[in-house]
Amino acid sequence: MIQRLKLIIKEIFRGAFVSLAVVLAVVLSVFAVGLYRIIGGNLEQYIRTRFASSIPPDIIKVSARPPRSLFLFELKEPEKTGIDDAALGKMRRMGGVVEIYPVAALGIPLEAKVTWLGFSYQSDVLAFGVPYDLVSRDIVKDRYRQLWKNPLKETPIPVVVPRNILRSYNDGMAAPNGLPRISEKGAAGLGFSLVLGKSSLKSLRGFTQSDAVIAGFTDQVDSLSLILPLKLVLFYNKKYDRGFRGQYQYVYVRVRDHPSLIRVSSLTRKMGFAVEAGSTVSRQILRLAQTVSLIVKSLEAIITVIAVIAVSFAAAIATFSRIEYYRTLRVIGCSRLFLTGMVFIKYAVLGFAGALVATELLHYAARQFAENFHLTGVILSGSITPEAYRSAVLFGSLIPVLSSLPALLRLYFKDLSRDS
Amino acid sequence: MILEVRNIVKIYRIAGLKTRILNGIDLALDGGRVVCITGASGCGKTTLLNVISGIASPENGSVYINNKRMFYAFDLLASRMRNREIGFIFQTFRLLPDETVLSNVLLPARIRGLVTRQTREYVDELLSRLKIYKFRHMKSAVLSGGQKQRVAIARALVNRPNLILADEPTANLDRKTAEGILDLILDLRREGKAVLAVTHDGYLHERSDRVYSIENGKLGAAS
Repeated sequence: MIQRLKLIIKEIFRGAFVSLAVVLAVVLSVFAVGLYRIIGGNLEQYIRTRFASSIPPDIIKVSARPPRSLFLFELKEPEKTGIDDAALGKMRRMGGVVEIYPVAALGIPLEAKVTWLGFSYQSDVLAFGVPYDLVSRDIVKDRYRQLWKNPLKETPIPVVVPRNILRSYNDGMAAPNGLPRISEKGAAGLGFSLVLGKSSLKSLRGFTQSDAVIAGFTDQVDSLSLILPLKLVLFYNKKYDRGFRGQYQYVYVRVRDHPSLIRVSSLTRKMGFAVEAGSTVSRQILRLAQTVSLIVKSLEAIITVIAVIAVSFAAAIATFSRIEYYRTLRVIGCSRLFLTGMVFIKYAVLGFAGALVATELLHYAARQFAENFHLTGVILSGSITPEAYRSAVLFGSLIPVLSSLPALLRLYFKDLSRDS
Repeated sequence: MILEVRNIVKIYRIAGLKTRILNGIDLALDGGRVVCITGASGCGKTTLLNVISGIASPENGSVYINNKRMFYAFDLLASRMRNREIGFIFQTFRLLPDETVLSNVLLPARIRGLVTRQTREYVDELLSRLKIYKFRHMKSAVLSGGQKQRVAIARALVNRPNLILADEPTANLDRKTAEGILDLILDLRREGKAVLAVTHDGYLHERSDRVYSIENGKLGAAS
């Protein structure tokens, strides 16, 4: 066994020049294909980031269809048009959905009281409850984040204010009434009171007054209502309305990509809900991204074919150049099985070595590319994915092995019987 | 009996025509005997050696070496038999030019997977006997024709086979060198080896035990 192993090891290093040619062919091929894939991938990423992901966003707003109306007043909303937990479950299970953020309206009277530097102001307000994840980035302090996560156990109640309200106040109320304008930075952390269950028009029995704090400002919810923790809103809705079924006014659905955006939009429409997603723009961008992707992949296929041909030729020529040696081995008693194994191992080792060298060069080149080549607004990736790495090593090793087969088959079935 | 060839038929398809290159060859060869085969070019001499060694498979017939049948269908068995039971000497030497003499001679033993201290001692003895011991670390490419054929003889003997097949072993050598090589081959008779040589060399014909000729695919006594 050791002697045979020695023969195999010797064979790997025999014919150094042609072996080097095979290794170089593998290095150049893997490098060329790999570099092109990196550049192509970055180009696609650029298109996606600059256009497809920013216009429109990857969030769909799903809401219940507006109920029929009669003159000024709405007719009673049919029960099946509401967004309940079952509908949320269906949306969550749709392919391409990353996360869903249900938004529930506070269904009881609510009053806000602000006392600041002797100035006192109270107003009936509307409020929505949203999950933590939707506004977590807008909450300014860790303490408020903790409060948002446990709104029923701790006070004050954290409140996120839609920037629309702030703008409306500054532009529409402060200036005309000679009141001071409010800045986000100054207002964050401002304490006030919320009276849950009471307004200027109606008081519910057992209404609750609680301290509240402005925890931040957000653009995530486009509304003129205060934003409260969803758990708190659901708790008070249930407390004052025994028949409350956990319905939501609308749901934000975050999707993985634009094909998902279009598919999920269509499916949610079929469920009977209204969908806002700006999908017309999305389709155009998607077509552009698909065209770019097609061009990139076509060129990649051409380069891959050229690379495979180059490696195959190098390996085939290298094997043919050793055919006399293999014939001698056969004549003095080397079996086809051993000879085939020996040649396969040789080219697998050469291919593997070439692929390894190429991936190292690729790492270096990709880093240089990422550092020195700039596309506005996009961070170029200089990394090779483990999957691409495995493919490079696998095909770099496999193609030379397969390419040695024709020469071996010729040796086994044609030449040897007429030659000694 | 070291070699027994029974009713070998070998057909080649040349330019679409089937040609019976060997047409019912029978041959028996015992140890300590040297048999020569002669005949016109293309009559099937080399083909017969290829069939005996398992390199080519016949359409019909069978070959026994040391009473073991050559199984053509099983390459592993045929190769093993070729490696262990047969030593092959070629007209063109078939040495590996970039390898040393020692490495060339040891090649069949490496393929067999058996290179022991005894093997190395035997190789040294062979090289000394064949008067090429001092060249053992030289690459075979730098040797003369006669020296190369001596290396080929040593390689043919390294696995201690009983049957030696020689295909025109002196065709590429000058007269004096050829006679030296033929004497070495004839010496194998004393070791109990059976030698089957394809050659037109009268020197070997005169000293061999029997000379056959192949004509129209049949084996007959040479005239």
